[in-house]
Amino acid sequence: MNNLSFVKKLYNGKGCYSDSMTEEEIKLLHIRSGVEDIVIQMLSENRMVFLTGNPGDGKTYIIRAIEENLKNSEVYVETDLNSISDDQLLTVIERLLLCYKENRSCLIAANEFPFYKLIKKVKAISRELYDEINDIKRNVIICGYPTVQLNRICIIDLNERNLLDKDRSFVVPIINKFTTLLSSEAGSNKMLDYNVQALKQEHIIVQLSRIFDFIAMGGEHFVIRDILGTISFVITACAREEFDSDIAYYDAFFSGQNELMNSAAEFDPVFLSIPSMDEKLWNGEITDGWLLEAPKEWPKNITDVEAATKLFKSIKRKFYFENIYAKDLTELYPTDYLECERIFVNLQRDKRKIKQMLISSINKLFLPTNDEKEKLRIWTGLNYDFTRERGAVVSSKYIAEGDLDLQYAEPIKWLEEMEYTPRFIVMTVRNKKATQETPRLEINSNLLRALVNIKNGYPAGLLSKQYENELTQFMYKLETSGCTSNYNDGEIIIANRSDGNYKRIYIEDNKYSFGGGGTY
Amino acid sequence: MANVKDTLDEYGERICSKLGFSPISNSTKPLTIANSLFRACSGITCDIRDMHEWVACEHKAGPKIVSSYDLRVKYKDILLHEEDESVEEIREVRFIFDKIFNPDSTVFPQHKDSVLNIPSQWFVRNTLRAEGQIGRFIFNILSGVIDGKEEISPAVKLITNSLRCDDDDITRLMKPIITSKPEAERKTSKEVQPSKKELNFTEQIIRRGFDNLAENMIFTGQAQNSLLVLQRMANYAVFSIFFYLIDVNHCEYKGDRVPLMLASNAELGAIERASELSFISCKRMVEEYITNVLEDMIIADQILLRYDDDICRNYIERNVVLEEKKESSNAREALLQYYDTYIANGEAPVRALARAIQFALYTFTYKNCTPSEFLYYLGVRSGFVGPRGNATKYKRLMINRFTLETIVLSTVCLQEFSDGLELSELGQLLRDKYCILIGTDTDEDYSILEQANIAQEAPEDLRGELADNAKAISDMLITIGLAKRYADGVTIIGWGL
Repeated sequence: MNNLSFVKKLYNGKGCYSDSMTEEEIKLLHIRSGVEDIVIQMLSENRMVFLTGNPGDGKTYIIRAIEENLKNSEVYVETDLNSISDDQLLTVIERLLLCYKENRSCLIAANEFPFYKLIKKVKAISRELYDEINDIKRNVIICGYPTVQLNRICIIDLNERNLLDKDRSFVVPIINKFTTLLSSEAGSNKMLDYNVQALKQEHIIVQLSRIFDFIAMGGEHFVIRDILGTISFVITACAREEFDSDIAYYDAFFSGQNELMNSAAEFDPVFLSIPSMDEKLWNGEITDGWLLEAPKEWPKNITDVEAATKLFKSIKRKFYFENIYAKDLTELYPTDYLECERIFVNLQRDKRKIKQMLISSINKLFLPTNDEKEKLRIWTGLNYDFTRERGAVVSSKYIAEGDLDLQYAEPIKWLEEMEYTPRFIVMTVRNKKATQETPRLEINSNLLRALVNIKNGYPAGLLSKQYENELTQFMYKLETSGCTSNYNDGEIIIANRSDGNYKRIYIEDNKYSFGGGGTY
Repeated sequence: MANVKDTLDEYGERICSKLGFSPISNSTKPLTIANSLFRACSGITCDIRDMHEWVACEHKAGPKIVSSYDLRVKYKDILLHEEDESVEEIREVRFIFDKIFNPDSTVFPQHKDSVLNIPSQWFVRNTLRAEGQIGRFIFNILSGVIDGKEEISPAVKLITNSLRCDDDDITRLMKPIITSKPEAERKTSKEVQPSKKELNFTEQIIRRGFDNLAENMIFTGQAQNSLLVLQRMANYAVFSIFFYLIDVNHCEYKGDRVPLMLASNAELGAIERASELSFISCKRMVEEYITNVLEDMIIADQILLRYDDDICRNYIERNVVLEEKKESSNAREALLQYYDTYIANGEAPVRALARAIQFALYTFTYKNCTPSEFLYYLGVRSGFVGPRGNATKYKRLMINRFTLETIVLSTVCLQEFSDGLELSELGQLLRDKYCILIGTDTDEDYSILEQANIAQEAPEDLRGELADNAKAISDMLITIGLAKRYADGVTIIGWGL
């Protein structure tokens, strides 16, 4: 198999499964992951390692990559729990128990559901082992200080691994590997040569990485197979029978069919528009700044509208990737993504500012005209007919900004070498013991973007009710935890959701004061 | 004639009495049922007239509504600025009170028909016509005998404790009014007597549902939030009534169980059609039950020695007692006509008589709402039947997030399944318990729909859409936080997974 065929087979087919690859191919594709080091380290410490995750997350790949280290060792290895029948599962558990008792190490790779089934079965056989597995399982991603100590069991959940991690992304190394491999195919396909040459350009890589960063911010989980498939397709679409031989990498990126490319389509530069620039691109007036070659044909010279539009889209993508003046276009990417990225990056440095922004947005979700950012108001609503919108909510309590904390969700210390991008931040109460009962709001990237959008003036009423439900639950917990304070002077605020207005009422000594009084 | 009761009215009352409640009001809303249930469980009744005066605001013109000017005079003792308080401010406050205490449009100018939003005991009022004894019916289930034990459901304690808790923001808004007169003048407490009744099959399902719901709320910490407890219990009470009406025929007359095909919001054509047909079957089953009850009553009363055609006809002509108004509306002729039609359709005389009485009952006694219409109205108001509004010709069985969570919490014991259970297992429990289908087991669900003659009338791709429907329902459970989906495609239901 030549290099082109090898790279091609990695897109959406059996060829991208590591168990169907030769040792040589595995070596060829190998990019060292922090997880490999963790596994080796844990096994050397005689621990029982469970490598869990989604199909395609790279469990088998990792085991094959460290095969050398496993040779001549007495580690009990189970490469795929999925292929174990229910009857055989009992034998596996017996062997695990033996490892547990005799202080021996093992390496078990399991998809999430088989792992779940294993734990359920273990529960009936050994409570001790079950408890330790569960304790570790719940504490691999933590906020603040760890509460569980690493003992015999080590769980590495590849579902938490983010291969698009900005600092340790797999994308660029894979591009480099593929372009190197395909350099030997030079001359066989003109567009392939062009793609290979383009993807060696730093500027293009930066622009491409930018889109991958946005995708990473979406919080979706992508497996190594998605990345391999995407890069394979981007470069070799032109060499596939089902596609035109003149399809460039920048068009291919937004035309392929896998989870990753579907997400990439949301960030297609075609959607970024500066009318004057679009006009120039249509008319062929942008002739400077092209890194490789300027377009040879421009839409204005084509009479067929459909063909002209298709060409315009292609030129716009080419402009984004290959023109050094594309910066203006790049800045048009939705600000919510950019701001979310900044929040995750700068959380420690700008914690107070970020907290105030979040408080203000949460308040605005319930009362759009409210600008309060020092107090998170506790809103209460009540209705029994769930087919109706809640017309009004009431607040007489708040929690001060200073009493709230924002924390990162991070892998536990021994997992810190794993590629990781936080998928959520946690809002919690300061000075409370870290128990399960501590009110805690997981702000994932979707909720974070919604709150950023509210800050930027997006009408809260148009957002999904799901966000309001999540926040209401958090407020319930805050209220019952007793860490809220009443407003001064018996103030109660009633927010009229339908028109965004609110009314303040004061209750002192069981008497109403509605607005100061005195006027008729 | 003066002392003899109208036959139709009498049968109507006896049917309701046999059923345990009166599903004959088109004004029954979730809040009406909440009021009825909370009063039955706590034994508490409060005078809410003064609060009603504040909430029934002036923009809803009505002769009984007190003007804000008069309100200022009447309630000057609870106004800090007494008669100096601005009338305009009072008007504004009443407008916003209407939003808070009348979110479900249950407050009318007349106090006697109104129920305010209920955050605590102080808002539980005396009986409303639209309650139809539903609260008492459910309390009887909650305090009935189950598995030979005379235990009161933990749901009752949870409800009463939550009603007692009155420091929430909604109650707080009314505190000056609530405390303006002594507790003894406002509140009447009656000791609650457990029913100790033997529960039938459907009642046992409901009872276990309440027990589970209460235990799960305690387990998940939701029980600490009094408002959430009240909402959840009322929500399940509404569902219980809906379910009881549909299931009681199966329970008492061994009729077929109606599969409740829940349509997710995934816009699946075949599922929607199956769900529409399922709802039609629900309504049919309610009417079937009423016919069965009437037939039983006719036989039990031994009003006829034989049940041949002549004797039944003669009974309608001579023995059925009708009040003057009904006679003048030609009710007897109509009754005869109905009877003849059923006989012509091949019904046995006694069955035809039962059906004719049933039809006449709906025409002349319960003109505004029949039990199957009650099912429709209640279903729409609880979000179990929809979509709301006139846009769709046929309604179907739907589910909103809150009700889905309630039903799941009533079905699964979260503490028992601390590691969670698979979606297919939840599907099995829902099927066994309520005959609710969500599509978790394509073959099983399809076969049930086939047996009910629903699958045959739904579009061909029903089988294929069942799995999509289950996925959409599980998506809802995931957003609620009651489920987690693994990449293998398996969804696990549980708490804190």
